[in-house]
Amino acid sequence: MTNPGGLRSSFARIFLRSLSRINSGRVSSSRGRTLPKHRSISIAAYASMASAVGTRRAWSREVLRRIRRGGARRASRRTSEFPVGRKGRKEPGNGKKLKKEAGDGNEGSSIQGMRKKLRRLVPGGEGMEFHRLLAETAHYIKCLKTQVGVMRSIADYYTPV
Amino acid sequence: MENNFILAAAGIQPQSMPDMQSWQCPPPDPMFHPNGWDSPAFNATVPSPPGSDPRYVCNDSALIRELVGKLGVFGGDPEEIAGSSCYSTPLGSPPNFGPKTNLAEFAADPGFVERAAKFSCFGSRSFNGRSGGVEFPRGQFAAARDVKLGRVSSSPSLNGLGVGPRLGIIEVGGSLRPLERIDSMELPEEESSVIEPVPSLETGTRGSGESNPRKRKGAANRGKANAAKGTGNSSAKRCKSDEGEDGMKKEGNVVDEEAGEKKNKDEGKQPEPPKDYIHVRARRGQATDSHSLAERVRREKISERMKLLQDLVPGCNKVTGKALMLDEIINYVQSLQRQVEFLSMKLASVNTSLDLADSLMSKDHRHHHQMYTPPQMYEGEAPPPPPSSSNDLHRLNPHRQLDSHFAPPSDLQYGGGGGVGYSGGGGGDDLHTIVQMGLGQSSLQHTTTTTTSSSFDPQLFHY
Repeated sequence: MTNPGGLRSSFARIFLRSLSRINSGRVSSSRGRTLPKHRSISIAAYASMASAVGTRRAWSREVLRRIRRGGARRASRRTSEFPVGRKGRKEPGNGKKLKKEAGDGNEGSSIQGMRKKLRRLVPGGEGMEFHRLLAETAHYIKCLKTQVGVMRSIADYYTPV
Repeated sequence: MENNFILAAAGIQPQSMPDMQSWQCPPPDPMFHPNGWDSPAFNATVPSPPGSDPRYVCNDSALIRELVGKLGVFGGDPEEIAGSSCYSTPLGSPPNFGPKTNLAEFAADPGFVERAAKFSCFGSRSFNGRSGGVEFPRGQFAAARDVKLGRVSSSPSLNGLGVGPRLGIIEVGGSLRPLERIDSMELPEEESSVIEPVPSLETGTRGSGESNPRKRKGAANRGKANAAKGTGNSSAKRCKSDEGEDGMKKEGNVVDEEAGEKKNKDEGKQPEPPKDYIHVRARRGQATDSHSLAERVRREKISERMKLLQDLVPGCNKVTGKALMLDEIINYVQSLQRQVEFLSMKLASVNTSLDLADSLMSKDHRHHHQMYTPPQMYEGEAPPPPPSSSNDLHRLNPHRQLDSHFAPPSDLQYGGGGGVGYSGGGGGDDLHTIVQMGLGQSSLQHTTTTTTSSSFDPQLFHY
């Protein structure tokens, strides 16, 4: 597993850099519109985390891809609108969704619904099998936790004591 | 005559049964003692000499019933077997040959003696096996013997144990063969020779034998099914869910299966033995076609990952079951994402100092911070940086895609220029150390604040 200290510091580094960039001047969005600051920061956070992770993970690749495409508003949120070069995001793994586990004791619909939801939540989660989705989710959660921790420290640092 | 023939087949001298003519076909049930296998019991249940029992009129029918009952027992009524030292008909009654003479006559037949000996062995062992309450690992024999044993061993009680009869047979070891032989060859012969001429009497014997064929069939089915599974599973997969009987062990998978089987109920939590993904084994009682094997591999992977997730997501430990856990995970991811949004809004409102942000960077970027040390003292607008340094920064920045979106090169310099001062290298990876150092540095600098709130630390903004 990645060294969490390393992840944390890389993320902090990149994020701070982005923050300073945002604060110093207007960040140019590819669409020409200026984003609200908080939105820029949010995107910066995800982008920084994805950069810190690199391209090792499917979700980070996905995030970077989205940002590159410039859908700033969606980069941190929605996934479904993106036409992705990978396996059709449009009709995201329908086969995967329909594929239930045979021995599943729980009734399938709610679990399926939850799987869909999870796929939507985790970037890049649409085109993969469920067990891979779970692995990506685990890493994603770990990175989100560091992200939140760093951002909180920064925010706490800057708020008046 | 016929009667004599039958009696001879039974090993009973006709002349020793003078009164058999007087026997009737006894009512099936009341006289049948399933437990009457002990020889004393047998003796006890052997009713009074023929003449004294008016019920027994049919000598041949009684004899046949006795034989069939014997054979039936042979075929496996373990209740009757258990603890018996000799097999006797379940129906202590009918064979009313006079107690001693009967035994003597039976004993006289060498075949019976042999069978009695083997059977008693079997019976006692199976009894021991049963009382031992075992489940275990004689798997190697179990599957192999299943088919053969299917006919022999089968009572619901032993089958419930799952391995009792087999164990019994196995422990008998060498005597298994003779038993099998007896089972396979002698019984039918006896049955055919004895029963056929008197088909009508089978109804009489049903009372005792009826449960036996059923049990035998049940055991046979199970034995065959198990054997089929056992042989079919050349390479199969280990799996957490157990579809078959819990006590059954697969042939060849002795120790591991045992450990696995005992834990197989708990889907979410069992420790998995090291698995070789290429070679997987199916548990007994599970399908072995490739689809289900692959399915099982998938399921195992999924449950493994769910376990990992359980550790990550707080509060997931108590939750078991996929649905609830998925729900928890989804909620957690959503809450984390909401926190990021919230914090970004907070940062947007709070964080307005360029140089501070830059000064918080780690020592890894010290070298290109140093490029900016000259402009350390500038205030307000930072002068456009020399192109070289911007190039350096670009080169050093591995994340170009960010640059294209977030800042033109010049903006980068703003951030870099403002930040400066940070040459000492912070305290490693500790963010707070970095922050402290940044704070120390920045207090000397003028910061341009695009939006300032009065609540800021005045130290940051003094000129």
